[in-house]
Amino acid sequence: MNNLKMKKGRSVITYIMLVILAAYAIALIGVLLWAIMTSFKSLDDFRANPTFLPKVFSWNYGIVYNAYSIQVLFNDELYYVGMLEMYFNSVAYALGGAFFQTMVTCITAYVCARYPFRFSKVLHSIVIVTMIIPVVGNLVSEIQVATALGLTYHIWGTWIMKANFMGLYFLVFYEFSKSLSPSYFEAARIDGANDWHILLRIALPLLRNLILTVMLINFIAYWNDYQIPLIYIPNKPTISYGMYYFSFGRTDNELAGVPMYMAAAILVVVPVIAVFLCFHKKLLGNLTVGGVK
Amino acid sequence: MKKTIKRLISLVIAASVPLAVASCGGGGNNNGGGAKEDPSKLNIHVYNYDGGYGSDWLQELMDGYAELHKDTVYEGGKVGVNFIPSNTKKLVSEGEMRADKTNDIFFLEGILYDQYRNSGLFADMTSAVTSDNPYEKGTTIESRLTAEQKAFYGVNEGGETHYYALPHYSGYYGIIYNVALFEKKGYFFAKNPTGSEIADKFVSKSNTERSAGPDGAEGTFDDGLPATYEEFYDLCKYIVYNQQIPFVWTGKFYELHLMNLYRNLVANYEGVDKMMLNYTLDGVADDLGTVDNGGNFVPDGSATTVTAQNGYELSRQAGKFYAMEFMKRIISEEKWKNAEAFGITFTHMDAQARFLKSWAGQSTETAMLIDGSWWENEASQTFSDLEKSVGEEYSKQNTNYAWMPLPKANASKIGDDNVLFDHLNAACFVNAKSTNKEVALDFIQYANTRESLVKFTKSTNTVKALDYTLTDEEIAGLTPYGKSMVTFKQAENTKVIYPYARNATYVNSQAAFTDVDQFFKWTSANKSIVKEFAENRNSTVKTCFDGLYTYRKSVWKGIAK
Amino acid sequence: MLKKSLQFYIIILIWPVLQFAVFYIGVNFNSFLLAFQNIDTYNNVTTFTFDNITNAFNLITTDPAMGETITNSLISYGLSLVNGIPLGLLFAYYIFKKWPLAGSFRVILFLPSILPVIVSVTIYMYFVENALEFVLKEYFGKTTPLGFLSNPDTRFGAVLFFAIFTGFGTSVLMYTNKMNSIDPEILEAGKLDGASGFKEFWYIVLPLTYPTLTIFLYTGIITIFTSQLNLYSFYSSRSSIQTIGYFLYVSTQRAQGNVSLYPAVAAYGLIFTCVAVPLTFIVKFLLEKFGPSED
Repeated sequence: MNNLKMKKGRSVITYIMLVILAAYAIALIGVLLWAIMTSFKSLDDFRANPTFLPKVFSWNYGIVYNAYSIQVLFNDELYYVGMLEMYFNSVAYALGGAFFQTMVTCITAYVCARYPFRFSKVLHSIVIVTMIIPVVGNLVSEIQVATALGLTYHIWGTWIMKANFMGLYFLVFYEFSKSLSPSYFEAARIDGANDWHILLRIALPLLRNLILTVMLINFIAYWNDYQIPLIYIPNKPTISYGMYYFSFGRTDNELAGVPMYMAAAILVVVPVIAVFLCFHKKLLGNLTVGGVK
Repeated sequence: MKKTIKRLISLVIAASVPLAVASCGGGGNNNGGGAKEDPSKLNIHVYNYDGGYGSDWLQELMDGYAELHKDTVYEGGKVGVNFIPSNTKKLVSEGEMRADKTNDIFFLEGILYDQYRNSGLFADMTSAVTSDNPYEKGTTIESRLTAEQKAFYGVNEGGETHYYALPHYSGYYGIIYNVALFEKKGYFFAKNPTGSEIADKFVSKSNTERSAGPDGAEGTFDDGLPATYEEFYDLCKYIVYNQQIPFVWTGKFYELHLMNLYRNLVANYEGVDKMMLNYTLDGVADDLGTVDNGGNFVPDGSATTVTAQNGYELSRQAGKFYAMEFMKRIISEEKWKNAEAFGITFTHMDAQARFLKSWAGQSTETAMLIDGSWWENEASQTFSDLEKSVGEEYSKQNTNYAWMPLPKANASKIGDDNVLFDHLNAACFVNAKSTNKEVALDFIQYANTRESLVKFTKSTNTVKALDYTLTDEEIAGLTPYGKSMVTFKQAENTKVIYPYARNATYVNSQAAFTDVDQFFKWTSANKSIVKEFAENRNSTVKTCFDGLYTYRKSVWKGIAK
Repeated sequence: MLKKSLQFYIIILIWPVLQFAVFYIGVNFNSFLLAFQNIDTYNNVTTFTFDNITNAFNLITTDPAMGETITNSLISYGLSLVNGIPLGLLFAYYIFKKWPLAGSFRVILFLPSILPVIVSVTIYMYFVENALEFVLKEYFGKTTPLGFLSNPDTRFGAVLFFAIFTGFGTSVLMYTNKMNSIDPEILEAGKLDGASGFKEFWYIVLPLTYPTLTIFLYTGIITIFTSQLNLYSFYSSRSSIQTIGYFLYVSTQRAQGNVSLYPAVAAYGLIFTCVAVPLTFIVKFLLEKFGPSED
């Protein structure tokens, strides 16, 4: 092992890993580039030549953008939802869901960690127990409850359903809050700050990076999920559901073709990638899970 | 600084993509050829499901009608009619139709007539159907309906018959073959086989006389075509022997296409009366049976009287067994079809393109296509691509494709009627909420004259589900495929089934009489017979046939409640 | 002061407790009840029965398709363990050590998580079925007729591959962050003892990351029952391969709006829950008993 050692403690393993990771990156970017290239082909061109550059550039995006719509029937009204509105629905669903869930988790965990009432222990135990007692297949029941409470067909309804404090991230916030130095809080109390002030001015700013990262992870889960919105808010189709509908629900002759599907996929994905690339440093911040027994 | 710029650029890109694209497209979802409301004219909105049949035929009708009425003065001093069509590939659900306050006239398929009528979605169109047609003096639209259609669409209300919708186009699944290829390679059966080898059964340079075909009569359009399932298998073997591919079908929608073919084989075996038992639940079924452990069909000793109580017994019809055997065979033979026959991305359009392009030498020549009767209209783009890139000889008019009568299950069935199964439930009707009902009904009358019906056929090379006959001269103007379709439909021994009935069980549980429920569900699981054959090499016809019966019986209580 | 704090405490906790009461206790209790109900929408009568459970249990234990579904779920979980976790840890370590291009790889590994999964599936599906298939046939003499996602022999593998390929994002992120939180002094001390490169990973970093891993492992048990392997995105509601999660979702979707079908789905849920709970418990127990400790 020693004689294979290279500079700065890198070993053969480093380079094997480099090769694997590079292959991963090439495959991922390669497939994306293929999709972009395909989106500029005519169907006829694609059938004859599915891998190389298009013979003639064909502008499919205009057709796809116009066709990327869903007819919605709600309250006896018929209307079309287009791509921009679907984007808006997606962002509202995912951002709202992630925000409320994360904040509820964070604040509950903070309160439990910093206020030594007996009930705090109860909540902490509930979290642990619900993690060990995973319930499966209760979606039908949830639909019944949500319908009874009038939460279906509203984006805010899904926020309410998701705004719980349970799960792994409760423990993360809990540990983090526990580990905060008491001196911050004591100083503030001496200055006469009340509990609300401490929460808003001291605790939340200290937890900010953690909140952002958890929110990102929650956001991703909601963003990717089109099956739950399909059940609760069919009247507000999201961009992901739009894509599902575009590739499974439509049989229009001029749309049924790989170049069109790829154009739709690229159209959906480009804004996401752009936003991600510009904020990735912030988003991939500091989150640790562990030290929890 | 650099970072900020990078970030800004990314953001601008992100924000501009949807907008940039938006500015390139026309906007709006309905592909109505840009027609807009015209306040000086009477505006009529028409919803057209433009699946396989497109919208050219409708445009022609609207143009003709608008021209005819350009000086007609309507209520409110409006002069002339302005049509605003919505041509889309979206079927309309009951709820959506109830919410539709815009469209006056609908041309749609997949209509649950009784259900929609009970919900009050249709305007009464009795007067337009039964009175003398002003655009074709001396006839009524009603006279173009079959007895079966009259019984279905005509509803008895207080002793009077009322119509709320009319049949629209007609569509069947089946087999389309390349006549030119058949002729070039001699894929027709010979009247007098010269030996027992596979090639001896087919025509050759020295043995040109063709067999009688499935109708059993010589000198008709089906001469030389496979008369029985066995002959069909021989044909496939012979095509493979010639290193060509017997047929191509869509992989993405293979269940739909193959199940429809299967169902049509059943109809072709059973004939109109016994097939209709599946809907009327009233009559005698004399060909029920069971399958023994050797996989052979054993007919019951006696006939069964079918009623609403024992309708599930029809799952044991002989035609279902033989059609299953046929499906099992063509699915299991690997060399008989295209490589992507079960590929999840190979669409019906890809299959059509493969079929047509193989004839232009762009892949191994393929003799047959499994698709709907509207396929040629649907493949228009491929035809014109080929015409441009290879040559004029590949246009619709200059190629030679034809509709193939389905082979019979065995020799004893040769000469039986050819049965087409129109499964589309396509209808046209006027919206109950329409404020222009009178003009809408008038347009429906205009759209159902013989002249208009012939125009539809000329435009789409398919037929409408009404009774009209094209003259030889009119037929001559169609594409070769259109000619074969119309000739077949108009042949004396061709019958069409419209799968509906008017009895309490059927009307109350219309959804349980769809094809999937009647013919393909053999377990409660999500796997049709066709899918089972495709994915499970060990599956047997017996399992599926028995399953069809057991499952239908188990749910029958709910259907006949 | 204390009284005011108590007031604050109560106000803050009203929402979480209420939410928990309705959407955890309420929903699950109702789900439990549903599993024993027979709802006749025609006559609007609800009665209690044990039939749903018996039926569901019979189907799970006797239907071969169900056996396959359960096997698929287990294979998928197992593969994510033996494949996803070691690779994920190694990738995380690579990034943690800031080896060449670490920053770019961090972004690239995370990229698939941020793309809507239906979009990645669409691209992947057409790439595999069309482009890859074309290249393999044209230049590598592939003879089997169907693409990897259509061929019944390979499609499960192709779907699994996609899940693993796109699934590194969150776990790599968490592992890296955990590694970053390791006290540099420990690493320095290790280096003096001769632990560098892979040894450092094996003897120092891995044990310190273990608690994170443990949580992933035992909270991951539930994914055996919930993971849909993106099957809905690949094959819509007509997939021939199923996982338990996919089966439950499709059943729910089919039942939606028809209350009389709810009890059957709830019964499946109850049975699977009865398996999931002890399983999670056992795994947690084993991991804590036999794993290395952080100290």
